[in-house]
Amino acid sequence: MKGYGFLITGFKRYFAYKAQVLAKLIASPAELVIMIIVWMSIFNYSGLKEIGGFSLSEMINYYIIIYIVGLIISDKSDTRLGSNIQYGYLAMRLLNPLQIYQLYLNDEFGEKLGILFTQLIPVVIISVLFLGLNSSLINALLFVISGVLAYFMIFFFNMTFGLLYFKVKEYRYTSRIKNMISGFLSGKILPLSVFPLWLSEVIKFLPFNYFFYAPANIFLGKYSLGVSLITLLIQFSWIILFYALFKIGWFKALKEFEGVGI
Amino acid sequence: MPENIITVSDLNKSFKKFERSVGLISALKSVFKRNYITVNAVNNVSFEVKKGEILGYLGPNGAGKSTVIKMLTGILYPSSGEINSLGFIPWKDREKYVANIGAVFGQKSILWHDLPAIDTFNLQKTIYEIPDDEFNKRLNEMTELLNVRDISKTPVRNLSLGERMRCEFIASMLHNPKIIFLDEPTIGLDVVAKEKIRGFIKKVNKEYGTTVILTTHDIGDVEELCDRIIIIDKGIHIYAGSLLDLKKKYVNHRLLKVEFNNEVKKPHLKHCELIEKPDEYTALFKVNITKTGMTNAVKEAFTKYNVYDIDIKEQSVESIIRQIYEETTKKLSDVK
Repeated sequence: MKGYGFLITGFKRYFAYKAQVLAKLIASPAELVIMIIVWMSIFNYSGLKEIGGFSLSEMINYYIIIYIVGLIISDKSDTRLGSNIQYGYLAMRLLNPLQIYQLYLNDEFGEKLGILFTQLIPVVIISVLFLGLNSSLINALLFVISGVLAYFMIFFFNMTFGLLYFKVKEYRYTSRIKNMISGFLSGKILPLSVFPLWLSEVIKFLPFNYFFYAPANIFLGKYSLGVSLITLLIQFSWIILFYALFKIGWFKALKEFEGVGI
Repeated sequence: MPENIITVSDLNKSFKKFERSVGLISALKSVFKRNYITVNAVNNVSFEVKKGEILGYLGPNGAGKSTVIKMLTGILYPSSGEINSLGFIPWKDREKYVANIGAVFGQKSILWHDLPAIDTFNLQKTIYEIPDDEFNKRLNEMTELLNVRDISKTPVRNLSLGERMRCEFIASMLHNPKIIFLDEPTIGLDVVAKEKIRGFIKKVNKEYGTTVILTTHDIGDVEELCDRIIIIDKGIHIYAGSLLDLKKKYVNHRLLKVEFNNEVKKPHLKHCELIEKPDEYTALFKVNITKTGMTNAVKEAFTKYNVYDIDIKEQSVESIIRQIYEETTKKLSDVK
């Protein structure tokens, strides 16, 4: 595989700035801590034992697992494509004898490898030892598969979405809007079972809940084995669909590419 | 006769650009309604490049040079026309094709900014699948030639422009490309760095038979390197041929410097224009050689004045090219 060189540079770049590594270590769990405090207060003041089918301890587990999924699937390939288009670096990337997605994917893997050692493994150890996070072996295994599939889904979704920037040219705010909507519909902000029934029914047909909600439920044992396996199959189908959409869109977009800035 | 390595025929590229008049209101208006205009950046360009030649591709800013280079490297699709380079259609067979070419764009880097250059060299090794021994041999040779041994382990962001450019060349040449595209490779470099880079280009061209296509605003690059030049302006080729032919065709004057033994207030020679008179003893003439021979001008100087010394200079290539640019601009505006 020719692209693995980008994996190595991606990994090295993750560690290029000491301050950045430290800042990521401190900043990223902060969101999780805030969510836990918010839900503790909600449960405390409302006096409810269960919200959307989640008890307080399940809710805390849910956010821990959402945080872990976030570490696995966080992806910014659309903004990367956007900035590459806007500042002309795409032209330089196109000089590589690789498909653009292979290049980005390898680079992301390198970064993920950095995250694995500095964030993911420590967080999993701390969560299991001190925060009471647990699951059955089979669910944990299915969760890992589902998490990886979710990553490829979000990657090709973002790459396809990123094609928009060939036309729009602005990527910062556009991508924020997209992240806000997909975050909301994916269960990253709230478990989807908290939503009114009609909304959670609609969401089932969208790809977003397979980013966060589905892997989290597999881990927490909320899905039966059959449902879990179907979930993996659906995730896989979405990957194929987004990949195909990206490939079709990419060749059309390249015809429009103006290669400014060099 | 070496074979053609690149054939370009009837190449066109047009872009849509939006126009906005100045002012705050029009800035606001442009959010809702935009006036697009079509710009023909490249118009019916055709040319060939021979194996092993160094071709200078010249033109003023915005002439369409970079657009042609980008189509040649497979980055851009043309609006119409054909390119056959090394048997590939660059934009269609991009991934296979670019494995055979290298490119250095003076304005953009292929080096990873945050990492030492050696990391990018190793990256190039993996993506071009260069065997270990070949990689080491070429890397050693080029680091020696460009003198980068001490800097390849420093993060690129801490390098000077000259150091960075030398590393860019290595990164782009490690896979022994058959063609190398250089888009203003000496821009912003000091004299010594320019010399190093030019020497390197010559050597690579000679030893490996690498075909070089070079765009530049630096006439020094052209004079020292190019076998042949093409001049493009407003998307149209306005000259193609050797530097020698260019001089033959376009040189219309020479400079004649005359030093006198005594003070001369207003020196005058037939068909010559006095362009500089630094002091009473010296005069610099522009001799129009389409109207008079140099010998006539020199003879006249010797008969009319008490001459201490003379010096004849050729018209610089830079001024010839400037003259060609100006002529085209005039011709095109006359047509309009």
